[in-house]
Amino acid sequence: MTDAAEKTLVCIVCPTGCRLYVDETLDGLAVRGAGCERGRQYATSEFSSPVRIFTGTVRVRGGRARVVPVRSDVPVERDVLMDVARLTAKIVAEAPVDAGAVLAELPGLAKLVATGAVERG
Amino acid sequence: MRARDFDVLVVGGGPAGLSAAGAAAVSGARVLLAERDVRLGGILNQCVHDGFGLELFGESLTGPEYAARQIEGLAGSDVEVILDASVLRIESDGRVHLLSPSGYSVLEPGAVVLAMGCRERSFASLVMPSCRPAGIWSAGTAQRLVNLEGLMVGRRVVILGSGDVGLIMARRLTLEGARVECVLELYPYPGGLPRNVSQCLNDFGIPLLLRHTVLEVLGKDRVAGVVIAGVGDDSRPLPGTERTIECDTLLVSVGLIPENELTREAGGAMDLATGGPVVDQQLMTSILGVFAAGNALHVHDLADWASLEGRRAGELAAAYAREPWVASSPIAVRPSGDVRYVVPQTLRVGEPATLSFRVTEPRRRALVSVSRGGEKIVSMQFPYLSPSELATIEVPALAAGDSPLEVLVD
Repeated sequence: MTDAAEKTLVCIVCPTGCRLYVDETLDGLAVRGAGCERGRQYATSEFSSPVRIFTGTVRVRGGRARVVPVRSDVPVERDVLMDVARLTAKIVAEAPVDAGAVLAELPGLAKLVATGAVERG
Repeated sequence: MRARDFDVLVVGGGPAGLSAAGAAAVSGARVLLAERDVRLGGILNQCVHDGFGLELFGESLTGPEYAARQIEGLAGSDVEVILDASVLRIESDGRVHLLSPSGYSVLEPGAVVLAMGCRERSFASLVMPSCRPAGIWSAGTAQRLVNLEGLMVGRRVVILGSGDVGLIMARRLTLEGARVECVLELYPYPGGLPRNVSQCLNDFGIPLLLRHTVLEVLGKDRVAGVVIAGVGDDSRPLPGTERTIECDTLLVSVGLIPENELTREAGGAMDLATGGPVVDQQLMTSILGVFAAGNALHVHDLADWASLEGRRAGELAAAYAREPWVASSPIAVRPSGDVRYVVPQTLRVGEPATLSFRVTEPRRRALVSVSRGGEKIVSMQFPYLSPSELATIEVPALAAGDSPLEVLVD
C-alpha cells in the first residue's frame, strides 16, 4: 500500500512534453507535473486505457499513385493498432480518391479517412 | 519571364515556404513561389503520421492535411506558383537563375526567401564497412518509398539513429508488418522528441539501445545483418561488446543537413554549427535582401515552427522589397559552453530579438544567461533542456559595440 510504483510518462498532447508522474493511491490516480488540464486527462487515460490515432496508407487501383495516406477518424485503443494495420492492408481503394473520403469502416474500431487525394491515371 | 514582375521570390514550397509566400502576399507583395517538385507540400507529402498543426491550427493533422491547409490558404491570394522549377543560382547582387517548364529565366526580385529545407545525412558519410548490399536506406528515403511509392523496404529492420525520422519509421514499418529489431543511438539520450520515443518505440516494444552504434553491415547482395557494439563516453566502440543482429534492412537516421548550395554559391556567410546561413533577427542573411527560414536556416523540431518562421520571413521580405534597409554593424552572438548553436547569429543594433538555441546535452534546472562584455543582460531558468528541443530567450534592443553577445548555460 505504501510503496505503489509511480509511473512516469511524457505527455504528447502538445509539443511541450511535460514529464508526468502518475501514482495509484487509495483515493484514485494522482497526477503530478502536468502543465495543463489536457495533460492531466491524458495521464489518466494513458494509465487506464491508452488510445492513439492510426495513420498509414491504403492501396489504390487505377490511380496516379499506388497508395493514398489515411487516418482513423477517431482514436483507437493502443493495443489494437496492429489489428487496425492488418485490416487496413487488405483494403484497396478505387481511383479517384478525394481527400476526406471514407475508404472503409472497420467495425468496432474506426473509419479510415483519406488524408490526401489520388487522381485517376 | 521579365525581371521585377514581382517583389518576393520564395524558394521552396514546403511548410516554411508556403507560409512565407502567404505572409508576403498578405503584406501586399507580388510573390513568386518556386518549387522543384511537381506539387507543393515539400516533405509534408510523405509524412502520413499526425502531430502537425498543434501550434498553427490547434489540431493534430497528418502531413498531407497540414500541407493542404497551407495550400488552401494560398488559394485566395495572388501568389504565383511555379512547379517543377529549380532555382539554379542566386548571384551575390540578388539576381536569380530559374529553370522551369517555361524555360530559363534570370529574375530580379526585390527580396528572396530561402526555404529549401534539409537533406539527410547519408550512409556513405558514416564510412562504414560493407559490400554495399541492397537494403540500406536513409530513413527519409524509406519513408518516401513506403508512403508515396507504396513499396515495402524490408521485413527485418535495424534503425541506426534515434532522430525523429528514424523513430517515426520504426512505427511505420512495424504497422506495415516488418519486425523492427531495435533502434540504436550513439548518445546516452534519444535524438528525437520524447513523445515519439513514447508513441513509436514504447508502444510497440521496440528496444532503444542508447550508447550503441553499428560497426559493419553484413551481406553481399542484400543486407544479412549488422554488427553492433556499445560505445563509451568518447563515442568509440567498447571492445568485447560486439554482437550481430540478423536483419535484411538498415535504416540510417543520423542527422538532417540544411540545404544551402544556393546560399553558399551566392556568397552567404554560413554557420557551421547550424549548417545554415548566418542571419540577423530579421532573418536576413549576409546577402542584402535574401532571407532564410525553416529547415534551410536550422533544423526545426516541428513543421509548425518552420511555418511560423517562414511567415516572419515572408513579412520581412515584403517589407524589404517595399523599402530596402541597410545592414547595420551587427552584434555577433556566440554560443558558449553547453549551448551548441544560437539563431540569429548576428543582431541589428537597436532592435530586440528572440534567440533560439539548442544545448549539447540534456540539462535539468538550467540557468541560461546572455552576457556582453562580462555583464549579464538577461537570464532565464529552464526546468529541462534537451538537444532535441529548441528553446528560446528574449533579449532587448542593444547599443552598438564590439563586444559579442554570449549565450551560456551554467
